[in-house]
Amino acid sequence: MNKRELDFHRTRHGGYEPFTPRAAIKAFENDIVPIEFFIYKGASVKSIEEKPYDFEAIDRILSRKNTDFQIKRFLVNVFDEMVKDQDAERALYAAEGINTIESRYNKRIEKLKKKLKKHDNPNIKEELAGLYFELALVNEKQQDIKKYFLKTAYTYLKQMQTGTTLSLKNLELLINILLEFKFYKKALQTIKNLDITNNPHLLLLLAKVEFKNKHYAKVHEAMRALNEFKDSLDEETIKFITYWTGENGETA
Amino acid sequence: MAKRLSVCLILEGSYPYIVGGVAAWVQQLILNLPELDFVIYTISPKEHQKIRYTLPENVILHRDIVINKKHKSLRKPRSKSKLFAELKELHTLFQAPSQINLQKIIQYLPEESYLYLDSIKHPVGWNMVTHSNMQHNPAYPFADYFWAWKSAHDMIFTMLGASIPDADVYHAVSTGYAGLAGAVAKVRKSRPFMLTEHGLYHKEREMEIKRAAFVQGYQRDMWINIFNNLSRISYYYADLIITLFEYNRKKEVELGAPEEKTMIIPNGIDIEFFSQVKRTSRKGFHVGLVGRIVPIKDIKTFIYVAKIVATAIPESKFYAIGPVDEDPAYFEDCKLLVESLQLTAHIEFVGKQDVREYYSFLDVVMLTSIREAQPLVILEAFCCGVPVASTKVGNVLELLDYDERFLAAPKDAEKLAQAVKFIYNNPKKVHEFVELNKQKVRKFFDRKKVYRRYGEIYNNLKGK
Repeated sequence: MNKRELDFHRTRHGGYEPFTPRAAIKAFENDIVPIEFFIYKGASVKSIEEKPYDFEAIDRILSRKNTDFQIKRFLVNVFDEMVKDQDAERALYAAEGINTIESRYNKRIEKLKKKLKKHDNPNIKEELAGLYFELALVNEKQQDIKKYFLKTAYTYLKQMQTGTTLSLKNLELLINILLEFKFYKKALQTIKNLDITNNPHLLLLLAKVEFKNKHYAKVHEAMRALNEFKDSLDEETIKFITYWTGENGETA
Repeated sequence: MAKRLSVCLILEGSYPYIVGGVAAWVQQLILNLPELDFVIYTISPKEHQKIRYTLPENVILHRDIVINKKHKSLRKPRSKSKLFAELKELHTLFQAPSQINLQKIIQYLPEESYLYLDSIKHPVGWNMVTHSNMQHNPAYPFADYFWAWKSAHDMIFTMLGASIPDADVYHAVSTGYAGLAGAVAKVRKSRPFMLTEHGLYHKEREMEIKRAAFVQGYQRDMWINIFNNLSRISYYYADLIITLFEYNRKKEVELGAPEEKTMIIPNGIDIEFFSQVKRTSRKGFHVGLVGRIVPIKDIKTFIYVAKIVATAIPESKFYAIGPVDEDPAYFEDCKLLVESLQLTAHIEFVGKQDVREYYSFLDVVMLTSIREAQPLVILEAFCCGVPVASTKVGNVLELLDYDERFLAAPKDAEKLAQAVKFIYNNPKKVHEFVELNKQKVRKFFDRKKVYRRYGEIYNNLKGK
């Protein structure tokens, strides 16, 4: 690599400059910019929670239509801190960011509620319960409001439970709600009422509940039972089992 | 009989179609200057909107232009080559606003001629689009860029070509398309043009664009640049730039407003009207929020504060005083939240009311807004002798003398609750503070004086 190549940022004059690594690689593939743009953009990536905050990166993530829940939660954590900034513009920026995330949830919830008024559909209730649960975690720092959203999510799930058993997904949501409420014993009771022996998902859930109840020996027990299903489990779960049981499936 | 002075108020997305805020200010301005004639020139997103105010008698004309509509050209532009050369030049001059030259563009573009098609049919126009695409979006489909560019620029072409009503003075009540219309009016009619900014248009739009999921990547930058440039044009052509408070004035200067043209005229309230309020003591502890029940006022934070305060001060009662019909879904959500937090005995949504009745007994007025300019409600509360706890937004810091005891970051329910509890626990200290603020408001924020000042400015500008 000669000196000129290394110096490309300083020596180039104007032209297209991609913002993101993805745009840079696309532009390189189309012969619009040299590969150095991708290397530069790829190597400049930093976490959005790192200070000083990269507002452009935060904006890009926030403006995406389909950010998943973990990203939203992460953004809210960043905004929660930024909202107390001495700089009024930054505080305002953060407050509007939180409002944007909340209002996206609210709009979706309102749409679903309208649908629900027309047709009593369990799928809508399921989605509503999930959204309220997410809202609860987004409002982690405001305990009263968190409880309110958890309660609403719980109510929707309970409505679905009448006369029918919950699907695995909803059961998991129910357990998570109970855990967030710190109703650990009730969560344990709920899961123990089910036939868990041949269900790796329920065993994993049981391990989580036992952990919250601080029954660590029971966690090991659940993990050992789970180890029987190792071949059908995903990599993440296997890592989890290995953490608790060791490489050979034996507890420490 | 001497001819009455006529003022053309140029308004975008506001009076007479929207209630409150700037629209209420405009209505009062017109009512308080009966010796002047007003022409209302409104810029609307759609046709046939419902008029929400009774237009005062001194409004002699109301003309509305729909900005999203493709208007029919009744005249042709002169010398297209020169016109497009000027338009191209304009794009390079935004970073040096002192050289912006709208005169030449207007010279080649008669009223009622619109460049919607010419902008892409003319080789210079087409080159500008394609060059811009290569600069900002070369790796993605050109069609996406083209339509984004077109929709952004067509609205500007509407404002450049629209016919503007005659008046002695042009007064835009924001930058943006209203400010552009004001600049065009100044050039076409050779009449003075002044600007009043309550908030900061380009900043507000920037915030909206950044949050909008439907505006992606380079389109965001394009829109933000356009709004910044519209503000630059407004600042450059305005003979006078008025804002409500110092922070916003500085921000205008940062974007290129010539400092010598800037001036602060704060909001005003009807001092006589609010001075009539007789304070009475009512059993319990009463906290009020005066405002519309909409997300920007962050009523949910008000509810969280109520929860925290009610736990500490069981006799406390909270009132949300303001219209509830603007965002029914949000209002519904707020009511559910109140129920869920078991606050029904503590919070009441009383709707739109004569606020004086509430100012007579409220122990605290609270503001939880995320964004404000210079909130009238704080001035009203001070004038009536009611202490205020508020989020640090807009001019609130100055109005509350940077006193952290009464201030909190937006969304900080804990700190707001502390402020309310401080007021509850320290009535003597708070009384001193309230008395000082009462005097301040009565002296500096009298609406009559504010509008009289505008009357003087119109008359002075007319002679220029």
